[in-house]
Parts: sequence; C-alpha cells; structure tokens
Amino acid sequence: MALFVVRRGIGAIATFLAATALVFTVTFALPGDPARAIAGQRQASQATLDSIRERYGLDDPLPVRYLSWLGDLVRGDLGESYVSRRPVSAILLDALPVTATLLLITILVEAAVALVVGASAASRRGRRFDHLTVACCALAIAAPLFVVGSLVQDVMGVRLGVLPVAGTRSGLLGYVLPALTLALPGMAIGIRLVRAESVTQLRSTHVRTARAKGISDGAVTRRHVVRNALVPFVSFVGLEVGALAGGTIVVERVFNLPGVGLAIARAISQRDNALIVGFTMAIIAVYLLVDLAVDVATVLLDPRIEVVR
Amino acid sequence: MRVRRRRVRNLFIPIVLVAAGCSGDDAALDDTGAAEPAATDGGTVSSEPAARTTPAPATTDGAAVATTAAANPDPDGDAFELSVSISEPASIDPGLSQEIEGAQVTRLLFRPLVTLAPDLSLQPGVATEWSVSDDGLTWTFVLDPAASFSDGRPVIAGDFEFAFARSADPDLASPSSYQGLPIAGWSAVNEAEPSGAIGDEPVSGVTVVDDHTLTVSTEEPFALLPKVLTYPIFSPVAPEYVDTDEAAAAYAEQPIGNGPYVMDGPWRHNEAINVVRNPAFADTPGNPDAIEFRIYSDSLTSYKDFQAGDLDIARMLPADVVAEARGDYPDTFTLTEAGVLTYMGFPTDVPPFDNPDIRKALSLAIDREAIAERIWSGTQAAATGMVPSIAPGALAGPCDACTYDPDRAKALFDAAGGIPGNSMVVYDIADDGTGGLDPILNSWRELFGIDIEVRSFEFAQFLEETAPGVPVGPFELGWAWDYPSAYSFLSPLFESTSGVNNLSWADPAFDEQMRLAREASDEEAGLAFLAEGQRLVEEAMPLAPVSFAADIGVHSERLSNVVVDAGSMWRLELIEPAA
Repeated sequence: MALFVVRRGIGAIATFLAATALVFTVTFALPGDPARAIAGQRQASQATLDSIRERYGLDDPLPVRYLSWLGDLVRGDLGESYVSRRPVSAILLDALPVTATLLLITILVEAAVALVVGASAASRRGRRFDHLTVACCALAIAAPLFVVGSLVQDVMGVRLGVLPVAGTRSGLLGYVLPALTLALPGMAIGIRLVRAESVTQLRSTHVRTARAKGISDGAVTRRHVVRNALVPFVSFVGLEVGALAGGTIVVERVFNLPGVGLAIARAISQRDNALIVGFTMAIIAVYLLVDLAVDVATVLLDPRIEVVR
Repeated sequence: MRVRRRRVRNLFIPIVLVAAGCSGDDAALDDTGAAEPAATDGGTVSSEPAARTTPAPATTDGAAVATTAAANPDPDGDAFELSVSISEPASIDPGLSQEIEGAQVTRLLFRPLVTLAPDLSLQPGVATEWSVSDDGLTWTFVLDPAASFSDGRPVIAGDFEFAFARSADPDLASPSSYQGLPIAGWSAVNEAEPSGAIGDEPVSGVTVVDDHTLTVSTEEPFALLPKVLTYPIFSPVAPEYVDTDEAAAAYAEQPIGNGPYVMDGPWRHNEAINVVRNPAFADTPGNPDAIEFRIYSDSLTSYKDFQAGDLDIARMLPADVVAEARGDYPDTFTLTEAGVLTYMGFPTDVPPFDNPDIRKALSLAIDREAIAERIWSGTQAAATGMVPSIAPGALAGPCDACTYDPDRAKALFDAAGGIPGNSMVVYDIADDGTGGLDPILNSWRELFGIDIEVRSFEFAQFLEETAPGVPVGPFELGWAWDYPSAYSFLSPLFESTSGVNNLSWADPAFDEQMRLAREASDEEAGLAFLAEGQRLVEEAMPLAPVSFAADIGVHSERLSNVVVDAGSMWRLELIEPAA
C-alpha cells in the first residue's frame, strides 16, 4: 500500500510538472509583448519597458523562466500580478475560500436533492411525479448557467427581495443563489443517476426478498435501494467537483463572488500571465491531490480492487 | 488616452449580452484627472476657497461635523452614507493612476496643485494661486500652508517634487508617465537607465523655492500646463510613505492622501473600497459621511443590486438595460456626454488611403446615427467632428465628410479610382472598448462592392503589427481626452511628433497650429488655433470619426445633487440627501 501511494505520488508530480510547463509555454507563447501591455496603451519610454522586463523577468528564455518560476514556487512565491502588481499568492489566498465555500454548498445541495428526489421518482416510477422529474431534469441540464443565474437573481433578489442579488456582504446568504444555480445541472444528472440506479435495485431479487419478508416500502427504499444506488453516485460527485470548476467562472461573475473563477477569467482577458500561470498551477495541484486521495480511498474501501504491481 | 476597457466582458458577450456590446461594465476609459469639490467661488485662479479661511468656528460648520463624523461615521445612526458601483481598479496609487475606475477613488483621496470644477474649469487645489513667467516657460504655484495629509503631516512643496520624480521614474513604470512630458527634464528621467530605486532622480524642471512655493518649467511654452497637472499622477506623495518596499506595498493598498476623504481600512480587492470624510481636510468638506465603492465584475449585476435597493448608484449601465432604466427611473437616470471619440483610422501613407477622397468616401458611407441608435441604444452619440462636442474648443459639426451621404460617397469613391482589387483589410482591435464595426463594414461592402478581410488583434499586438508604414487597411480605435480640451484630442492623434499618431499623417500647417495653441498666452487665446487645426484635419480626413461616448448611470431617490462631469468623474462629495 505504501509503495502504491509513493508510486502514485511520483506520477502526480510528473503530471504536475508536465501540465504546468504546458500552461507556462502556452501562456507566454501568445503573440503580443507583455511588457508593452503592462506599460499601458500610450507611449512608454524604452527605460520603462526595460524596467518592466527586468521586474517580471521577461528577457530570459522561456525554459529559464519556467525553472526560476518553479524555484520560486517551492518558496511559496508565485510572482506578481501584471495588472495590480500584488503577489499572486495573496490574490490566490483571497479567492480560494470563496470558491471553496461555493463548491462545498453546491455539492451538498446536489447530493441532498439528487438522493431524495431521485429515490422518490424511482419509487413512483411511471407516475406523474416521475414524469415531471424527468422533464425538469432535461430542462435543467439544457439551461445555460448564465440564463438561470440571471433569472433567479431577478426573481429571488430583485422582485421578491428575499435573498441578496450578489456579493458576499451578507455572508453565507450570498452563496445561496449562486450555489443553487451552479448545482442545477449536476443536480439533474444526479437525480437521473440515482433514479436509474434505484429502478434497477427495485427490480432486483434482494429487494423482492425484502418485500416478501414484509418490510415496509420506506424501509426498503432507505436500506436496500438508496444504499446500493449510492456507489455510482459517489463516483459521480467526485467527478462533479472538476466539472463545477468551469461553472464557477460564469456563476462567480453573475453573482459577483470574488473567487478563483472570476480571477482567472479576468486574468485571461487582461493577459495577466503571472496570474494565469499561478492560478492554473493551483487548480492542477488541487485536482491531482483529490485524484490521489480518491484512488487511495477506493483501494482502502473496496477490498475487491487490487493494487496493480 | 487610448480608450481601454478591461476585457473580462469579451468572454461573455456571445452568451447574453450581445446588445450590450462594450458599453458597460468593465469600462476603463482613461480619466481626465482628479478634481475636487467645487469651491463656492471656484474658477477664479487666485481666489481663496471660502471654507479655508474659516476653520470650523461652529458646530453647524461642515468641517467640524466632518471631524466627528470621520472618527465615528455613524454615531447616532443618522450618518449620510452611500454606495456606488465601480469595477476593480487597476490601482488607486496616484502615481499609477490610469483608468477612470481607480480615479473615482483617487480623486477623493488626493488633491493635486490644481483641480477641475464640475464644469471642468480650473480651480485651486493645494495651490491657492499660480502664475506663469513672461516667456511662458516657468509656472509658480503658491501652496496653501494649511494643507495636510490625512495623518496630519503638512503638505509641502517637496512632496510634489518627490511625487513628480516618482511618477516619471521608469522604475515605477507608471502607465501614465507620458502625461508629464511637457515638463522640462521629465523625459530625461523617464528615459534614464532604471536604477531600481523609485523617485531617486529629480525632474530638473521642478523646483522647490520654499515649503510653500513650487515652480514647474516646461520645455516650450504650454498654456494648458495647469490642466495637465490636474491628472492624479501629479498628486503629492510624502517620501516617507513609500520609502521601503513594505511601506510602498501598504501604500498601494491604502494610500495616504490629502483629499476630502480618507480610506477606512485597506482596499478589499474585488469587494469594496471604503472611504470616510478626512478630518484633516482644511477645505470644503464632502457631504457624505462615508462612501462605499462596491466592486462589481459585471455592470448588469450592479444594476440588479440597485433594483433590489442594495446599491445607491449604479454606474456604467450596459446598453441592453438603458431603455428599461430610463423608463423605470426617469428622475434619477443620468446620461452625461464624455470626452471619448471612436473612429476608423486610415493608414494615410499606404495607397489608396493616401488619397483624401477615398478617405472621405469611406467616411461618408458610415451611417453614424443608425449605429448610435441601434448598436448603442443612444449611449453613444453620432460623431460630428474630430473632437467630441463637449470639449472646449470643439468645432460645431457636422463636418463636411462626417455625414451619411451614400450617393456622394459612391461618386467620390469612383472618381478617385476605388480600391485596387476591390478588397481590403480592416483591423479590429478587440480589446479597445470600441464596437459597432460590423455596420460600417457592411455599408462599405454594399456601397462600394468590395471584399473586406477583418483581422482581430489585441492592442499591444496591433502596435507591433502596425509599426509605422505597416498597416495596410483601416483600423477601429478609440481615444479619451487626458484633460478637457480639444487639444487633448488633436495633438496626440494628429501631430507628426506624437508618439501615438497611428495614422502616419503629417501636415506642417497643422503642427504649426498646435504650436501656436501651446504658445498662446492662455487657453482662451489658443482656441482659434485649435479651430484652425480641426479645419485642416477635417479637410484631410486621416480618420473617420464614428461616435462620441457618454456615461450612463442611475441613482437612488434618496440622493440629490448627483453630478457627473464630462470627464466621467462622479462628484460623489457633492451629493446631498434628498429632501
């Protein structure tokens, strides 16, 4: 087991290096002189451009810059934003808690709704509630986040005034609408997954046996159906964390949450290369860590999965 | 100043905000400079603002109220506070000031030597009076001895000397350092080898006579210098505020200024910047006790927050909500013309664009009214000349070739021989904040029967692609004035010596008019030369003006006296509670 973890760890580091090198190269290979972009759109003296190139190390060849970036990374230094001139690490530390909070609430909402609604629909299979659920799921998956976000903002925030329209001023309340918006597509997929899996379980022999023994419908659903339907659902939630990251870019913008998605979208549009590279690195690192943790957990949880030597 | 908008919006345009174009949110037109509360007698150069001579004699006096209010913004729960939307500023350090979002804040925190009244006329700042020598080369500023920073430290002439040296220093790499180029010795500092230390090289044209007297010399006579000095990069900075890297980093987050407001805690990035009245401010205090600059990434969101009653002032409304806002809030909707020009530029050294008749034909084929109405929902006005009509010195339009006249356009085009091969390239500068290119191209295609290839660039890339002589076709760009004068459009865009003349256009007769305007005894006397300069440009049409921009906003009914000046600055300090 220890060997497995070490092996997977080395693999993760190799992936990390390859991925960051790729991001670094692609970001800096884009046409346009970053020094000129930093200097502003009006005339800048040669000395100003020189000073900027020196400050951001833009004169060195790309491999040298990548290596020195890696060296700085080890010391926790991610460089300085081209636009605000603040340390990228400070900007990252500001943004991470916001996105982490948003993702956590989103996943909780997705999981809770998917389990309850999915299992209920399965037990009412073919009835009106089931049809309605399936139709709503199709709609929720198809609706663009931007449209849904604007809509709930208008209805809940502007018309009814029950929840804040945007921002983090009201604390966790401000996360309700964005989390609901972000959760919607995943929630719909989750419901369908749980429903389909539950339907299969309901037809299975062990459920028939349980029923034959006279156990109530509710108890059968809870103990024998949902529990088994959970297995594929948990893997789905793991994957969902990754899928949600893209959605945060849209949702954080619509709801004005100062998180990672907003920062990275702005950095890309402003060509703030230091920020793009630093934030992408952080996302890659989080992914790899989660991936490693999931692999280890799976091996520990399910003895049938063998560690391949 | 080149019109520059943050580009976050581009990512989202295809989704919902098609109609919004680039009118709204992350707009970051470069500002026209700091300005301060209107002194009751502002506008007279040597006048003493009334409040300065009466240091808080009574409890009803504004200054006395300010002192208690700033110490505790809401002692009785009846303090006058307001919130206003901005997008995340690039910087609020005056030396790095470059766009209007940051300048909305910086102008409340700082007060330069000279400021602009709401009507953009000059009024005293820290300098109570100023004069120019007979040869027009040396300006003497007399500083208010009562002026101080918010921490109580007096503002002295040396703080301006240091601030000027700092803004000119290539080590600071200020995007606005070009503003100081008329000052003697500025370019020498700006072009010197970077030393690593910021502000260590004094600008030779700036001299401290004594603590309360400063002289500024120019390379050649320049009647508009006081207007230039209203820009935030000329605000005072005490050297000890930025003398170490740590101090400078703290200063960037919470600068210490000498203006009517002071920061209430450091900048909360992407969330808010809070300011309260500065108790140490000796001049007319601002009316609101506290102002919250609420930072939004999307102006549509700020508008919704406003609708929900959570925001007092929503600025920079996107074009797609303008009609709705105008209808829903008829009494508090504001539309203020701004000093911003959008244009199609021509590479005047490349055939067939070296022929003025081709340029005029292309200009006459642009339906400016339709673009202003359909693309911009009235948030931009059809251009009537080379200079937005609100700029002092702008000629009344429309100019001869600034109208829409397809018949005349076709006749001129054919008579001039048309465009070889019936095809051309047009450069679209994607991040320049301009829009409405398609209707122009469609009308050129249809009217002249030509093929047009569009090449999209970001501005920095465009500059490389189009080094002098390289552009092979028209390009769409914008320009915002640096200070309120027609000169701030004409000289940078058209003068042969300008570093940002992308048109490769040079006319000695025009350059001569600009020189005469600079050397005129005062701004008023220079207007005739600016007018003549505009006539020369309009005859040659090195660019086809398309539209003049405006600032759109809406505010809560609990506010009154909400003033936006033509430099896009919201005069927040003047706002009063509605009766």
